[in-house]
Amino acid sequence: MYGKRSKFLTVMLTIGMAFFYIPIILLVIYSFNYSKLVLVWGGWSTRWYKVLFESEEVWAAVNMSLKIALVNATFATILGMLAALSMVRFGKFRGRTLFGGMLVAPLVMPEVITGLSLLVMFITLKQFFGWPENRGFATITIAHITFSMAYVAVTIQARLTGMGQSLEEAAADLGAKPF
Amino acid sequence: MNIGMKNDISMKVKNQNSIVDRFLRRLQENWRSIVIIIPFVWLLMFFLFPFFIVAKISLAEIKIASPPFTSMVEWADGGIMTIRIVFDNFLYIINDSLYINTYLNSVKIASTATVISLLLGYPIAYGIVRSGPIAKPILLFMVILPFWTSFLLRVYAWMGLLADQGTINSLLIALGFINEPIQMLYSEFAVYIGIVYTYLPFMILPLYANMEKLDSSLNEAAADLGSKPTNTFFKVTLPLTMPGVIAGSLLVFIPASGEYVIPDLLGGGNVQMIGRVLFNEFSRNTDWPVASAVAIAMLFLLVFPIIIFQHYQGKAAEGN
Repeated sequence: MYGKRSKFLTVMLTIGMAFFYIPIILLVIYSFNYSKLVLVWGGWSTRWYKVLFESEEVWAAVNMSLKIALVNATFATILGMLAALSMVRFGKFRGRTLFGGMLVAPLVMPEVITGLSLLVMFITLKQFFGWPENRGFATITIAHITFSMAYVAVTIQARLTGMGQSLEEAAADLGAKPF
Repeated sequence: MNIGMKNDISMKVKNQNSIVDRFLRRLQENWRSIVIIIPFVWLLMFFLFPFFIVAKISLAEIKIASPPFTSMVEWADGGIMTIRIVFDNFLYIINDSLYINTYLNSVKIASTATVISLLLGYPIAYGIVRSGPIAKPILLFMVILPFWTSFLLRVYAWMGLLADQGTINSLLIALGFINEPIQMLYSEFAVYIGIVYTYLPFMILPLYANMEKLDSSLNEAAADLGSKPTNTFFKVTLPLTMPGVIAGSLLVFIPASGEYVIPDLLGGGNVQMIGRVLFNEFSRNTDWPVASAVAIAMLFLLVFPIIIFQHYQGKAAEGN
């Protein structure tokens, strides 16, 4: 459906993009503010970037975030892909409705509820099994994987549906094993 | 399973296959169930199981201890088991008007924000679909890009914009439109902005996926038959994009109704939403049983919209 974008749509697109990006651009501008107060302009400076790069706390936090993100992305992609394959390619199996429901629910479920219930579960687990000793890297990563695999599964599911099965069938006909 | 066992036995008889071979053979035969079981067990353990624990706590009583609630099963002397279930927490949240009013306020804010997002998101999605082959991927990328910045940072950015000494007020004063700053931060208005800003991409993307698959020849046919553009929109385009509208709306409404961070940061104490009450009950009042009861009540109220969402989410992706 190319072409024929009416003036109204162009105006709406412009408003939408401005709405999306003005706050982000302002944030970038304010990061060069010399003043210690966020909202008072004290002239251009890279003062805060120096503070940022010299802060050990910030680097430790960046390091932790990257570690969690890396482990999360790896496992969420694997689990989400397996889940999408099950939903699209395997037809009916026992518990499919429950499985599909659990798969999309984290997408929409308010994060306070999922977060709170995971927190309560980790505390209960500690009480009974002594694990997890402290909440930290492991618990954050587990929670993130549970959230993120829904996004992976939905994206891959859409692709798999669009791709059709003919390629896989052709491969099987030529004698390829599933793996 | 039977076939697998038979193969196993025959392999033992032949005694030619190594353990690795046998494992691979097993994998080839049962790979489907293995593929299903891994994510299934993960979700059961880390998504469904926690809710059962929350449900259990919601039926307990508050106690000054760690963890701060009474246990359901107790063993009296002589091995008598007593099971204690109290529904007081649910009665409490039903009878205390605070919870009902807060919940209704959350639904009001979430549904208004959903309508605003739809009114903004629909023309934006349609505009992207109607764009040329160069502009389209760029625009689509620009809708997704904000996701790559931290959600918290974006909310902080709005705090800077809306504050009394913030960008908008300073600008308006400098231009002479107002003398005194208008209070925008810590109001319902700020919460609306925060929700629409955060969830607008969630409205645009399913709408885009749905519209992209529409056949433009239908619009041409309607035009050929003398239909005006507005009429064509309401009779052809809108009905065909309904799955996208519903999926997008629920994708905004459901998480917005339980939002915690946005009302906390942009609404301050002035906007009561149920997600915030839930968390305050849990952390500040350490009343886990009531917090759990609020969570379970919210879940029950959300199950129905989530089922509808699951139904339409598939439809919107397929585009029919």
